[in-house]
Amino acid sequence: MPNINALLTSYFGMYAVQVLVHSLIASLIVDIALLVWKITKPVNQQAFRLIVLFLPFMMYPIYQFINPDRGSLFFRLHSLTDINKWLFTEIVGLPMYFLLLAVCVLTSVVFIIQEFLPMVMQFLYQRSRSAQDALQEEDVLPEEFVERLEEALEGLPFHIDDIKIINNDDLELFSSTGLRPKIYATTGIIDAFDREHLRAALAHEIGHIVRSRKPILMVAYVVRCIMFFNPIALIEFRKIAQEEEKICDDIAIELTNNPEALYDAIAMMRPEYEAYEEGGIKGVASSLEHYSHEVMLKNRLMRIGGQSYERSDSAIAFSFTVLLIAGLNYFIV
Amino acid sequence: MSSSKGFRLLKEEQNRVEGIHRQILDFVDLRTYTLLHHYSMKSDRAFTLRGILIMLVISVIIATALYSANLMPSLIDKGFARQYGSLEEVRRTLGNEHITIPNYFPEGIRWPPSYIVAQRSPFWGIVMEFQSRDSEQTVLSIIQTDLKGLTESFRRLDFKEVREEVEYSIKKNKAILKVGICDNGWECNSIRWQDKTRRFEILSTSSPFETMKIAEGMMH
Repeated sequence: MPNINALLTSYFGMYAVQVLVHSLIASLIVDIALLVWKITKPVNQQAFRLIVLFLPFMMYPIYQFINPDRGSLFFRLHSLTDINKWLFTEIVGLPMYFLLLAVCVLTSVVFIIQEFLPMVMQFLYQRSRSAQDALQEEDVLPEEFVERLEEALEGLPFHIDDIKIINNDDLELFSSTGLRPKIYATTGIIDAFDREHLRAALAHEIGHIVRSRKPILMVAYVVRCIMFFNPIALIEFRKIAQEEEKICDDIAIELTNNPEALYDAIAMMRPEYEAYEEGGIKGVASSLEHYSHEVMLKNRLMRIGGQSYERSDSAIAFSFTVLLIAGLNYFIV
Repeated sequence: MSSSKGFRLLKEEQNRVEGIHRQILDFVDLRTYTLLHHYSMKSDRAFTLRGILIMLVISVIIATALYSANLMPSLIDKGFARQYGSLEEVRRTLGNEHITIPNYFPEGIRWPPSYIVAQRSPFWGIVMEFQSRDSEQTVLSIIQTDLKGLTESFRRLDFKEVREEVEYSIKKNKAILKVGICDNGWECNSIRWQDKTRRFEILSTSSPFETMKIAEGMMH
């Protein structure tokens, strides 16, 4: 059996354990800060949530640089919390580090099954679909689809040449980012949506493309992947992604000035529950997935058309929260 | 209820609220409105400050909770590291079988140890620091741990610069002698070895010869 004490007192071990506990503290403080300062704007909420992801990840080397003795026994004696004391405490004859290990293993499995594999599959699927189903350039695009897209794009900052039509009846619309961003729309969605709905949905995707020019989410995803064992990072990253959808909704409303159309478009894209009714574990899993997707969509629908007004100075609130978390976590070793 | 209908109801409610606001504004003149706006701006600043105060109070509560929680493992297991007043107290709490006391001390070192930290969990270990008779300065530090532990984690005083590192054999034990400058700027030296059950480390500001004699006095 490996020397668990040597592992936990090594630089890597201390980093891993402290990142986890510091994320928990950061998450708690950020949630309280959002309530105390009544932060409601998605862009501000996302900025606060990014603290939970970035700060614990970045601060450990800085703490050690400020005080190389921070991990020593003597610092621990006077610290606010010595995590190792908890980890080596035996409850019913079992050291608590087994519990921590179980949580980390479980989170890693969830990360691989729910995030990493689906992302790879989605990437391959989108590539194969765009290659197989996209109407070839030499193909004559159905006139009515092009006309509808042109009408919907009127006044929006996006060119029709960068929209790829996928020959499929599903209601799907997604975008790719990069140097030449593209929007992919199925013939199904172009057919089912009227001009205003299509315009709102396209504006939402334009929002994603505009936002992708600031690669903060990409960096956040990389950090989240490095912290694959951290359940707090998993939860927070999902919240960050949900806020991103809301931010793009706001951009869509700003571009179209038609919240009603966006509301309808999102509502129309909500899948029918019956489609997910399956038996066994697969059924439960798809029901859960459907439920969480449904909650997220409802959340988005409920805020469309509402006004977000921040009573507090969010920059001051943000800076103060960062200082508070960084200060508190310094004494948690 | 269709989605459009839901949205329309939501919009109607918002319009109703905005209508009430507009009606209120119709009754106040521009000067009053400006004053109201100014007041609302002021209250925003007050709101931010109020938030800072609340957050400070909450962080004190969190810090207190963490500190209290930190005491709990020591209640469950008395063996976690803590400072002790005397070797007798260590023996009473952790058992005396492991503590090795040197049978030689250089002159000028004050007995008993001025600072003792010991633990049984997660591994057995003790550090004893001794002061000079003439000053309050720590001149000798003796660390002992079991083989699961690392003497490094008990080092309060460490080398800033190592000038020489030599391997010696003392009483058939392989020992490493280091000579250099310590964190506090004093010339110091250390000797490190292990037997079948324990690791030892002595750090001293005496001469290397004296340090080796202390080590010899601990090897039985």
